[in-house]
Order: sequence, then structure tokens, then C-alpha cells
Amino acid sequence: MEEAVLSIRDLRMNYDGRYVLNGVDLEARPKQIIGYIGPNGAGKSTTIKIMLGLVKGYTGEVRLFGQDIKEAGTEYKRRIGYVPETAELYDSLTAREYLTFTGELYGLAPESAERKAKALMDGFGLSHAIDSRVASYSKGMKQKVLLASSLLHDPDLIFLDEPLSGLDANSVMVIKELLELLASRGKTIFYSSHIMDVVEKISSRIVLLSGGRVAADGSFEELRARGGEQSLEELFNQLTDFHDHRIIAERLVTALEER
Amino acid sequence: MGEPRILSALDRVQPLFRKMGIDYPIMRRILALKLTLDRRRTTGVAALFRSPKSGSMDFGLGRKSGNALKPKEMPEDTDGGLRRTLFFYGLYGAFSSLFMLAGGTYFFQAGLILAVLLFIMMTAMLSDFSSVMLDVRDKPILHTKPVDSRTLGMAKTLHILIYFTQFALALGIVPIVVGIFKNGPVFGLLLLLSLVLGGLLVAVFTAFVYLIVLKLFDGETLKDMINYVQIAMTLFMLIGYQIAIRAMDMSRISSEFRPGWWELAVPPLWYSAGFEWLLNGRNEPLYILPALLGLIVPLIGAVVFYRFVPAFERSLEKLSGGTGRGGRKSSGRLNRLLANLLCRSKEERAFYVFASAMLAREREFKLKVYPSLGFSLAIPFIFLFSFATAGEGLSSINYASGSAYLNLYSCAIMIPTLVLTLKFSGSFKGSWIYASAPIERLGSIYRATLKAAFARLFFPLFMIEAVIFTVLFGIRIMPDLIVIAAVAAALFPLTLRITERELPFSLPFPTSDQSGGMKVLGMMILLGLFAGLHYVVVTAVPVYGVWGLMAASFALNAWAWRDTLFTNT
Repeated sequence: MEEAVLSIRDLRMNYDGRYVLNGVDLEARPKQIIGYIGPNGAGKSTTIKIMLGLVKGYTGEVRLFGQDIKEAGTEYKRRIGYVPETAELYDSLTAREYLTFTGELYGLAPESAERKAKALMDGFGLSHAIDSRVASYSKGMKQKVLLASSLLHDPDLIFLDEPLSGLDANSVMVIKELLELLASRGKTIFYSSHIMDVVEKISSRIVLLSGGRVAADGSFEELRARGGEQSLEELFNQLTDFHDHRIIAERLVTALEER
Repeated sequence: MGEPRILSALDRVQPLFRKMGIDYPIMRRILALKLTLDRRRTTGVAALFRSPKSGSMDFGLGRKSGNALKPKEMPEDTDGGLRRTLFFYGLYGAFSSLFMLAGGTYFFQAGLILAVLLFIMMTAMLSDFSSVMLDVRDKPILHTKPVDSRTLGMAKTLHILIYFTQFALALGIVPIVVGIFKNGPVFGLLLLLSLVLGGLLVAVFTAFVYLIVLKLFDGETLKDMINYVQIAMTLFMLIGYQIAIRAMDMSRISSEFRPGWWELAVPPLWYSAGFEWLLNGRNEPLYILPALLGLIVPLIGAVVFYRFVPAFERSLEKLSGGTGRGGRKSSGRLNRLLANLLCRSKEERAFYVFASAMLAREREFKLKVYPSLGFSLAIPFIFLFSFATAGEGLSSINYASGSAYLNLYSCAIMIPTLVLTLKFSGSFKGSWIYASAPIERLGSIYRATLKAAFARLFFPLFMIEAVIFTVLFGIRIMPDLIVIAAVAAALFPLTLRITERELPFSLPFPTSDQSGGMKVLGMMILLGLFAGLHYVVVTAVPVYGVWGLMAASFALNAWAWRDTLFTNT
């Protein structure tokens, strides 16, 4: 087995006295596509932000590429790509300007950053819009710009937080294919989403976070063998101990019908 | 928050609406919503005195997108914005009534004041139009609800009516009162009528400008245009105030002011011709024809516009979405060139290009900063003129050997405020990129942004000033100009040093005024001290003093920009 790209030991994070992460242990190796799932507020985004150095003040150990990120400086970030869950970017810039800028931040030369930006935008079918402000883009187009900005510098470890939101079915297929190709070339992909069907199909391994802890970890087949359930969605319900969907829905309908 | 009083006034004539087949409660609700929206919106004028609310692009996604990022503040539920706007329109109307005091014929008086008032109306309408008259959001929000078109139409009509009445009253009240006292009640009445008709004309004109821009270009171009109009307007307010004070001298021109047929091309004069015709009984075609034009054109325009409304709504959709064809790449080359010239490390160059683009593109930032830039272009001349009027006029200045060119220092007065504004951005949430990217030295972010602000915002202005001053004072002042530029350049890092450092473009624009206060004042005093020192040195050591100053100012820059100032935070 190859060396771990990412290893987390006993990660805890405390926001105002409440533990968001409660002792997470996790390892990831090259060529893995890890579906990182969990209910809202389970700490998925926090884990990713900690690994990126966006959130500080955790306890436990986080190692990326064999280095403890507390001591690693910033150099390790060069090998990471990140798509945040909220599509926030400096949207008064044009896609060309924004992508060239982010490429340069990751150490590319301006010319090659711009060339790659152009190539990626062409690839996403957005070459006509490359010199328009991102503010004028639709949600799907913005998402493609974010994806491009996370991949431009050819990172080894890619964090994607709901990367498919706003994309149409054809673009989704392109992205899925892209992720598989990247994984086969030795990249590690950390994929966080609420859409279980996609996670089920795309991931070579699934990590389920619940209550700030890893509640399940393994391939989809392994999880299914353990739980005996049909789909990932049902597994998700079972593992997060959620069975009230019917009752809640009924309660909502009752509320609607009240006069 | 109480309901607008106008709504309870409408409640009294409720039966009238019901008779017209209108669903009154629904209409009232829509109208109330529209009025609330008006109060939340900040217009160009109010933006000058209070930072603008972020525009349509902010949907407040995600409350906590990073540890350093604070959630966007909720819109305050007060009339502050609208009241303030109306107040400043009133104030501006009051200032413009000074033009009436200048005397002269009715034709001249009314023409001048109408020109000013209609200009203000037009700029205001250009910037407010889409949110008031045809809101893009109406379609997805209101048209999908079961509201019949008659109710919706009435709500919209009433809203527009209320808005324009408020607006015209605020702007016109003082000039009308002044007009009544000075030239009699008929004059005042005529002024009101002219304002109403002129307002209609301006509204129709604005509508067609919108229509044409949207047909030819795209929504982003229109937004840019609106932004520039807002900037121009704020600038006009700043400088216009200076001019209004000096307007008393205009009486000399007024006596020589005679109408000709060219007046047909200047709409405000259509109305002022009516004053001559109706008040002074001049039944000449030179006055009657324009006056009739002023009556007919807006009415016809309104009818034509009514026909165009569907086409209009269709093209207005471009505002809410859609991408335009780009094609503005030329500025990128220049930025890259300057980056290579001004910055040493690769990282710094990347940030320089980024900051240059942000400074040039971000509308909210431009609205905040560009007016003060334009003002600082005017300040040295205002100072110079003040000096001149204190003496015996412009000719009394000693251009050949005097030191009045030191007034040029005053154009650096906006630098402290500019530096403090750099940390804000309308899309501040994008700043996660600073944390996720492998940035070695945070100092390079600051240094690059300051350099970009100097090279892209301050320096071009300074060059304009420098050329004019060189023409006035001769090439002997060249070394002094270099000293002034160097002092201005040093002011950028010096300001950053005394203020708390936040990453550029990483905070939302504050809702309350949050200028650096004492610190900005301190920097301005420092600037004054520099100017004073310069004056002392060049008077005490006439020829060689300036070279010593130059050496000193270069040393100051070397110290102010050096790395240790920007240690990692």
C-alpha cells in the first residue's frame, strides 16, 4: 500500500463550548475517491477547513503528505485543490482574471496560468464567457469556474464540497469522469455531498461522519454488507439513527392543511 | 417600524379601489413591500454620506464561510436611507436656488435652475430606474403568484407615483418657495409645472437610454453605466457645492444672455421660454415654440413608452442574468507590465495584477472611492483659487518664482481614506482564497495592493495635475513635483502602519460610517507638515534645497516600504 496522503488522529474542534468534531480518525491514500458524508452540522466542512488551515484552534494531529500541518508552513497547500461549499469568489473579476490570479497564487507562471485557465474554460464550454464578470454567470457557470480554480495547478489532493451543485446532467457526467481519471492518475479526492446517489456511484470509499465522529468507513459494498440495507440513502438514515422522516413529513402536511 | 403613512391614507379611499375591481388587500401588501424596499435601498447620493448596502449580487450564502469572516449584517429596518436621500436632494435643491438669486431675466433664472434640477433628476433616475420603475425581480416573484394584472398594475403605478412625488417635492420645494418670494406665486406655480413635465421628459429619456443600451449591449454594461452615473453624480454633488458658493458672480453673464434658435436643443430652456411667454407676455415664436415643445414632447414620449413596455420588460431581463460577450483584455497587459516593473517576487506580482483588476472592476468599491478621487483632482485648484481670491485674482499669483504650486500636496489628502477602504469588498467572502492558497509572505499582499492603488488610482490623477501645474508654473517645479509624488507614495505604507491591518478585500463594506477618524486626520496633518517643511526648505535654500528634499523623500520611501513593516500577522 502507498503512503497516506492524509492522516488525521483524534481531531477535536470546539466552537463556543460545543464540540463540532469529537475525535475524528481518518486516513486517505492516493487513487482513492472518498465520499465524505454526514448530516448537516456533522462537521464535514469543518474537517476540510481545518486541513486547509482555514480554521485553527483544533486539538489532535493532522498530517498531509506526511507533514504535521501545524509545523508545515504554507508549502503543502500548493498540492491541494479546494472547492468551497458556498460559491464565493471575487465575482467582479472576469473568469480569466480570477483563474490566472489563483493559478499564480499556487505558483504557476502568469502565462501558463492564463493558458490553463483558457484551456479549462474551453473544456467546460465557457470560452465565450471568459472575459465577462463572474457576477454575471449562472450558478452552474460559477461552479465550473470554482472547479477550474481548484484544479488549475494540478493538485495531488482535492477537496470538493458539493462540487456538482448547479450543474446540469451532462456537466455532472463530465465531472464524474474527470474525477475518475484524476484518481487513476494517483490523485486523492475528498468528496463531500448530500446527494447520496452520486456519492454511491462515484466513491471508492465512503466515510460517514455523525456527531463529530466517524460512524462508518469503508467501500459501499462493505457498508452494505454490514448494514444489510439497499441504498446509501437508507444506510445513511440507519447510521445516523434517523427513522422519523415519515412522521415529520406527515406533521408538515398536517400543518399545511390546518385552516 | 411603523407603516408608511401613505398606506393609511389609501385605506380611506379603499372603496374607490374596490369599485375599480382591484383586490385591495393584495395591492396594499405589494405596495407596502415596494415602499419597504425603497427604504432599504441606498441611492447614489446617500452613498456619499453612508456606505452603500450591497446590491443585487449578495444573497448571503452561508453564515460562517471562514473563521475570519463575519456574517453579512442584516439590512436595518429604518427609513434612514430614503430619508437621508430625500434630505440631500432637498439640500441640493436649496443650493441650486442660489442660481435664482443671481438675477437676470426670467428666461435666464428659470433656465439655469431647471437645468440643474433636471440634471440631478436624470442622474438619480438613471441609477434608480431599474429598482423603482421596472424591477427585474417582479417577474419571478410577483408574476408567479395568483395576483390579477389589474391589481398588480395599480400597485406599480401607485408606487411610481409615490416615489416621484416624494422625489420632486424634496428637490423642488426650496426653489419653488424662493421663486414665489422673489418672482411671485405664478412663477412658483410655473416652476412646479415645469418640474413635473421636465421630470416626465427625463423619465422617458432615461427609459429609452436603458432600452438602447440593453438592446446594443448587455446587463453588465448597463450596470457599469449605472455605476459610472452614480459616481459622476456623487462627484457632481461634491464639486457642485463649491461652484454654488461662487455662483453669485454669475450676474455678469446673465445680462448678456439672449435666446436663439439653438435653445430648441436644450430642454431646460423649453420651459424657461414658457416663463417669458406667460409671465412677460412675449408672444414671439422664439418663446412660444419651445414652450409648446416642453409640453408636447414628454406627453408623446410617455405614450410611446407605454407602447414599448413589453419590449422593455423583455430586455430588462438581461439585467438579472445572461452573459455578455467579453473582449476587454487590453488592461491586463498593462497591469502585467507594471507588475513586473514594480514588484520583485512572483507572489507580489500576482497580487498586484489581482488588486489592479479589483480596483478597476468592483462596483461597490468604485462607488466608494472614485468620487473622492475625482474630488482630489479638483482640490488643488480650489485651494489655488482660494489663494487667488484672497489676493487680487488669479493674475496675482507669482507663477515665475512663487511657491503656490505646493497646493498640489492637497491632492494626496485622499490617500489615508483610500488605504483604509482597501480592506473592503462587495465580494469579501471570496477571501477564503488567501487562506487556502500557499502564500509565503502576507506582507506581499499588502505591498502589492498598496502599489496597485498608487499606480492605478493615485498616479494617473497626479500626472494630470502635474502637467497642468507645469504649464502654469514652468518646468522649474519638476524636482518639486517628484518630491510631492514621493511623499504621496510614502503615505500609503505609513497609513497602513498606523491602522489595524486587515487583508485587502476581505471585509464587507461597513453599514455605518467607519472612517478611520483620528488616524486619518493624523495622516492629513502629517501631509500638511510635509508641505510646510517643503515650503520652509525651498524658501530658505532656494536652489539646492529641493534636491535635499528629494533625497530625504526617497529615503522615507525606502524606509516606509521595507519588508519589516509588513511582518506576517
